[in-house]
Amino acid sequence: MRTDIALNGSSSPTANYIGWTPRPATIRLLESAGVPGPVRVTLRNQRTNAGGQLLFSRQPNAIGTDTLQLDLPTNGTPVRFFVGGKFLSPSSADKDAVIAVTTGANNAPLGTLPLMVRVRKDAMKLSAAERTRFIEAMSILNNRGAGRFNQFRDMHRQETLEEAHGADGFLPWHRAYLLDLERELQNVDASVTLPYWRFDRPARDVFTRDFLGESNAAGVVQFASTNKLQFWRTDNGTGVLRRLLFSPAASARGDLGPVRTEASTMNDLGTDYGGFIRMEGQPHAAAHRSFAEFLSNADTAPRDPLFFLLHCNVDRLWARWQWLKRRFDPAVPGSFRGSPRPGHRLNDTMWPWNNDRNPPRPNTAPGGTIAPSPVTAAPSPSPAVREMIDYQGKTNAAGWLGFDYDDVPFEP
Amino acid sequence: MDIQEYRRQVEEELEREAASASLESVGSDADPVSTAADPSASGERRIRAIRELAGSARENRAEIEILLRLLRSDSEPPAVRLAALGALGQLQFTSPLFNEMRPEFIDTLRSAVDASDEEVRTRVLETLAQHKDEYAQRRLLAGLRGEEPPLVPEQKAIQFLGYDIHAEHYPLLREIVERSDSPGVRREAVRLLSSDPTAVEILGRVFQDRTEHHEVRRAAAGALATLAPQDLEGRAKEVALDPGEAPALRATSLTALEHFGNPAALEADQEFLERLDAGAARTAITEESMDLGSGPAATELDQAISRFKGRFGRK
Repeated sequence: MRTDIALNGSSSPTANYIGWTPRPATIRLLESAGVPGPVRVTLRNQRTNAGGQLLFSRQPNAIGTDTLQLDLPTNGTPVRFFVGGKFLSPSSADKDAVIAVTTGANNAPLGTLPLMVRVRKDAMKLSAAERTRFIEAMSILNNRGAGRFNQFRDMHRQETLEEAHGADGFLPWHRAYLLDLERELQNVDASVTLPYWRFDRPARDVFTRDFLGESNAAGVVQFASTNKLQFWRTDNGTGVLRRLLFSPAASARGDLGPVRTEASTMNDLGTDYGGFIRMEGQPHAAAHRSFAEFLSNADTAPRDPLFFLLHCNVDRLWARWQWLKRRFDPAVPGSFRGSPRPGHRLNDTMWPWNNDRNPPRPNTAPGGTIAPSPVTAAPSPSPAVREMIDYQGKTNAAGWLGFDYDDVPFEP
Repeated sequence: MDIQEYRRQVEEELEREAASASLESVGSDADPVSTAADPSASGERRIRAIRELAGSARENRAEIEILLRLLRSDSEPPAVRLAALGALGQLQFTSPLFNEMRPEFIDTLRSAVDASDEEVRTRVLETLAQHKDEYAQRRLLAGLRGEEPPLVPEQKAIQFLGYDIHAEHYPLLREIVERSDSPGVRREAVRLLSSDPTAVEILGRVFQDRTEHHEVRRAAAGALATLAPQDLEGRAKEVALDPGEAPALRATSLTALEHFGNPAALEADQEFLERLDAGAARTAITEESMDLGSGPAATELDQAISRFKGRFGRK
């Protein structure tokens, strides 16, 4: 007798990735002919001292427990349960979280399911292996300027800025943009997530030759000779230009002064989206303007891989604000406001994923539809602004986008 | 951790930080427009006012024009001009008006390229270069060709040219690689030659020139990786096996091979792997006795060899 578990509606190992949001799973008995039923089984973490940790529940939208008992019919009928990552106990390697299924007083093993509690992490807290996996995936996507990354670079140019900036769709657009890129990275290495750079804190370990590179006085970013980012290439030029206007041992500040702290971003921008969106200026633009060269300009910023860590933190700040102010429901006005410009209203689809090349949209649409994910069907291939708001699927489980932040929990 | 307890902790922390921030708060300027433009106000007050305008000018053409005026004026203190440039830089991201005001912004920047302060001049030229401005390119080229006094150091001028590189720039860049005695300048020129199909020979020469600075040679490897990957593969193998080479160069060569090389061919080339082992040992001795390369570079070489062998060595 053994068990079989299917996660995220799939029995494929490629679907075995979760965050903090409890995800649907089913378990069934196999090879149980002749066994008197039902069979009571216990689900638990195989290892409690290492790897990502899991919580189990019978109900959706509930924080689970360390173990769960289920009665399984012997005819193989699947039984539904939910599994989520235990907050603050994410994975650090692929499939390092394991569901162990046992039965009886002796805890006889019936099966296991390796999975990963895959969340976006503070770049300062990544292990060396996590850093390397991220860099390698980015480098492969870039492929000396000839890879898929080119399309991400082309999505964020001077000519396309009105799709992404200067109006209320700023945060949803960049959430879709990061998600699309992250999914492409995961096609290279499924264990990779985008890290975030907390620009309001010292981040000395981010600006190292082994990771995002060390800038010299001329703004040339220098990488270790083992770092594949040394071959990074955009816009017909190899390398990255980045001059820090602050010390990497301090929080970011530039020609707009210090970046707004996270506490101020949470405390001082109000409880409604209309106030919070002012963060596009401070801290977002101030973080960009704490550098000279690529990052200082909206057109050239995506040429620097650090851009994606900066924006990942912007998105994390939005996620954290959403959690603190309980602003996940797109139907609630405080969760989003909307500007008159196309692409910035709640039900508008977003360029370029909608392939709309008619004015006032840009006349190109690089990249096609958003990359699909084996863990969730959301968002739709040409996502609307509203699909980016409830990223944890709190008000609509089918809208779960498949990412989480290490310090933003799922709270029912 | 219990999520409600976590929420309570976070909210308490935010309250504490809000309280301490209000103690330190300097308050906002009652009239930032007047303060920003007031030459009799202290520089610190004016800069604070300009930073406030960065937020409020988002939908206010008159306020954006004040910022443009401050940036344009060579009589303003450099810190005020840089703050104005910063505020305009923020508005480029956030202002729905900015696109239509872009021509005025570019005109203002052009009028400031001869600013007496070097940092103002550099940031203004950088911004124009990022906007692919032809006037800035002409001035940069004139400086590089010695036709007029350079506005910025040669290395920066090449970097700025790189924001919009054209085929007609390549002969000048090749000439700079040959004539400049500054490794930083040569490296920037090499970096931009990565799109010049006629530069393969010169890049190959730089990459294998043991008298050249290793950072320039690494830049040449990066350029060749794009321009002539097969050419690089052969050269990289030679460098990787050469115990007299700088460890950083050998490690870069191995990283390039691992990243871009033909996997089947590398797996089949067991002789290369065996020779790589022997070469590594000799480098360790040479480095110790002759003080070639840095400690980190030697460690990086060890890592590169280990990773390469892990990937391509016989299983």
